[in-house]
Amino acid sequence: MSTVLTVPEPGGAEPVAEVVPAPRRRRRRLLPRHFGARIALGFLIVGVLAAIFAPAVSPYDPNEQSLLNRLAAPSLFGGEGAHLLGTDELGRDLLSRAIYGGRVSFTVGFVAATFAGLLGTVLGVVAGYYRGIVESVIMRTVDILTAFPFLIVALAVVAVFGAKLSVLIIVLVLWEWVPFTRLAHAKTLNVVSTDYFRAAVAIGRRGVGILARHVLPNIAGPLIVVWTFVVARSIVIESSLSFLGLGVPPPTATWGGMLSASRGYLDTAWWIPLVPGVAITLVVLSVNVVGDWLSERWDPHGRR
Amino acid sequence: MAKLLRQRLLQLVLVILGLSSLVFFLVRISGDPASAIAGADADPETLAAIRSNLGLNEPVLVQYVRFLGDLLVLDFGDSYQYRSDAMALVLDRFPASALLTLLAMLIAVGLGVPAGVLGAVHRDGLLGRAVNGLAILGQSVPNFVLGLVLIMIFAVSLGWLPSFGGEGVMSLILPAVTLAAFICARQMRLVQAYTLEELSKGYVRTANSLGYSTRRIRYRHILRNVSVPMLSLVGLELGQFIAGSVVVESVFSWPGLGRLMVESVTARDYPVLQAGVFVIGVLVVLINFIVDLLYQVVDPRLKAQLVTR
Repeated sequence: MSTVLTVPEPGGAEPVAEVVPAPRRRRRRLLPRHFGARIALGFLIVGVLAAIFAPAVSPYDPNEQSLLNRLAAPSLFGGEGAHLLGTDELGRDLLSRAIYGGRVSFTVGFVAATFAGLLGTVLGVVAGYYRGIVESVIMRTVDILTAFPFLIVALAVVAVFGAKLSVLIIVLVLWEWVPFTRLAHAKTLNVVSTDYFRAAVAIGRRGVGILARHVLPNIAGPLIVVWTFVVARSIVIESSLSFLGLGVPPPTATWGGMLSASRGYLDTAWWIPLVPGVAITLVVLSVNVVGDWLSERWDPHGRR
Repeated sequence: MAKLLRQRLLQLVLVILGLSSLVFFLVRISGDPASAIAGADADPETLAAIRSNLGLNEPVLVQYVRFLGDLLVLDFGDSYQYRSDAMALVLDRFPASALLTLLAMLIAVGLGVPAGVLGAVHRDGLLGRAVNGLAILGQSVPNFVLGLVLIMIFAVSLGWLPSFGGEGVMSLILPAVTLAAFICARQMRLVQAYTLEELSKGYVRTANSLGYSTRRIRYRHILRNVSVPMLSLVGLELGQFIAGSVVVESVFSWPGLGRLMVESVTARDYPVLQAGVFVIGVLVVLINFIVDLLYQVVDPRLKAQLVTR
């Protein structure tokens, strides 16, 4: 715990919950608190907005080929021409493709993680509250799924059903609910054994009501932290599949697909692999940094 | 012990059955395996011959029962691509993957654990923050990005190492480092977090007051306590490791199991896919079992719990 809440003074005008830094971190700050997390959050917001409004903000059509402009060096780094981040082997503008690639990755990442989180939380809370056979079935399924080599299953599913956005999301949801269930289950068991929960039972609260009112609010923090990490992982898996040629098929721009196509140009045009590589790394890094910051706030024991 | 064994055996059976059935039905949904074997432009007679050969004309349920029977004797049939035994192909590729994975694991643990301990000890210093930063960065760079960057630096620009391979020790380095990075970062973080927790415990103070050297306290007493959660991480992250090796092997054209799986998915070579999924499933369960056993070696306190559980 890095923060403590001060007790409001008895005669004070207003109870003030002041956040006092713990004595351990007394070193002088060069940067404001949580500087990294703020930058990361800002970057993510900009990135998501750019992806949503891609047609408006991207300088070129992401699929417009211009064979005269093949492999143009990025003008941002001293290259000639009008392409800020350069062009690829077909003369397509890399900045525009990176922005459009964000659409696929953000959609898959956020949608899959959110549905997985809802499903996993419900299953975990139900398992922890109702116990008995329901709990056994859910938690044994969790055990089994943990031992599944997921990426290979995903490969097979995508190969069969085709690499549509919906297929990718469904496959991810069917697997990513597991960490949420594991955590929600453990936390629910904790809550159920507390006095305030027993008190709530004693005054007659039961079922969905007690879960929504007393269990969920108390376990939400750590679950949101897990959600951020699942978003990051989903984005990585989506781009891994695209990289292996099993994601959303070309010419749709995806970061993984761009990287895969760049493999023939590692020695001649460094910017082709670097643009999508940096894009995906920065996004995943930002999500992880934000998640870290949240976990510091809500879960004193860090990510688990 | 017997109970643990029973539990794990049950898990093994369920995982294998689940995985194999999943692939079986996926294959049946995906269309006609006969056309996958013969190619798109095969004439109807050839297709019919292949179908009756493989028993594809029978009801799916009959096929499924026969498939389960074959599973019992580990007969996955012949590869559509290579016309040879699928299991033999998988086992042939397996050593290359095992070598890569083991080396990566060694790198990850060998670097991650000391770095994690140091990061915890110097938590507010430069070293601690460097460990923190590296750990979060290492978990954020997808392995195919890291692989390509390493190729660009060490193979293309500097020309020190080969960018792909399967032959020679040098060709092992880049893939192993790439594969190790993620797990190494996780190890660092976890070891750091747990070491911090341990540092404030009574036994550390006692050992200090008894005059034990810092090195001995750190690497003997603390590490021993930290190794339990570390081990469980290895077990839990195994799937991640295998997934990683699929991608990394593709980046570096490493002739291992992972690349074989990707190839067989794209070529619709289902027997090889089945055999590969089987081998990987068995391995994951087996290693988790070994991890469970190791818990008891590392932490005798757990023995009692495991027996009674």
